[in-house]
Amino acid sequence: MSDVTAASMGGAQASLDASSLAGASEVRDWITLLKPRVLTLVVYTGIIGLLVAPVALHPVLAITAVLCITIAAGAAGAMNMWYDRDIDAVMRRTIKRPIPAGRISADAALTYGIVLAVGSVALMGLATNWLAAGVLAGSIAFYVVIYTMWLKRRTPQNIVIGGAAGAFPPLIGWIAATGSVEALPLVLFAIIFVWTPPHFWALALFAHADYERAGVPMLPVTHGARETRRQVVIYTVLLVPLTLVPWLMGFNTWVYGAVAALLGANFLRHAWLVWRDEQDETGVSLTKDMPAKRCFKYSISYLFILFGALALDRLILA
Amino acid sequence: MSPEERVIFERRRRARNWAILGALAGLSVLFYFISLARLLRT
Repeated sequence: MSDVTAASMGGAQASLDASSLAGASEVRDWITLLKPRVLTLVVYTGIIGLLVAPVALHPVLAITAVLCITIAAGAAGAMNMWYDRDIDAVMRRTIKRPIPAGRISADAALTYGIVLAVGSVALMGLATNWLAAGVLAGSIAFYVVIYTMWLKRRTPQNIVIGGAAGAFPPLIGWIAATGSVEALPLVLFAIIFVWTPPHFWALALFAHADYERAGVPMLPVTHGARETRRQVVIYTVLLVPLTLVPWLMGFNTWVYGAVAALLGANFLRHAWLVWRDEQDETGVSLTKDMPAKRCFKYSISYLFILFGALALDRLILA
Repeated sequence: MSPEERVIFERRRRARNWAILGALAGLSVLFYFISLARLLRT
């Protein structure tokens, strides 16, 4: 084999390897557009909504309903990334996303989001019922239009009202199974709704520089860290009694009530530590916002364990 | 377009076509089972 042929074959092999890598990374980029980390919570709470419903859906239909909730949430995430591509390009946390990094065009991301949104709503309607499909469509519209396009860049209350978008999955799961709305799924909706502000503001406390650079009016940017810490405590105080409502209304036993109370007490402790964080006279943390980071991490585990306990208690004991 | 870029382009296009085919096939199977489940329910 001549040196030229060998070199040419080596070049072709290298090009093939590069193209394989390019293919794999392209698939990864399309998945990244769906915000897979956020999807975990969406899928989980959607499954809980299905499980606690008094009607057992056929497993194929139940899996399809969860698939539809997942795809719809992913579609909303893709449309969010399409709209927010300008601010994503200046935030350290988001600068490597596929659109600001130039790996996927904005138009392609929007088309992808719309196709997935329409497909998931249609599939939900065909597989379960059209009320569930309607609420699913409403949740996508709420996240994209109300939160992303309207509130996010205009008011520090953005995530308070926008938090409703993330609260829909258990409600949709329940409606998919029963075809109706009752008190328990509305309580689950309310729990996620009130949980969202302390969760996001704990994150915003240690990521506020990013939001400031992007001009997003998150509470720490507009009202300072001290006020944000106070609001974290207020919303956590509101959240804890709300999590006891399923037990007080007789949907769950005292076992769930005890778990919710213990988890809530620990959340309150974290919120208290955030409030009492060492800070200078302007409210800036002197501990690199360690309590806020711990509170943010705990808030995720909190919701997972709380909803898991609620479902297990209802399925086994209630 | 250089030969290397062409290889990458064609590779990506093929991968995308396979992905679309897989999604369509998956949806067909899903629709089949959804129909069965709904028929059983009624």
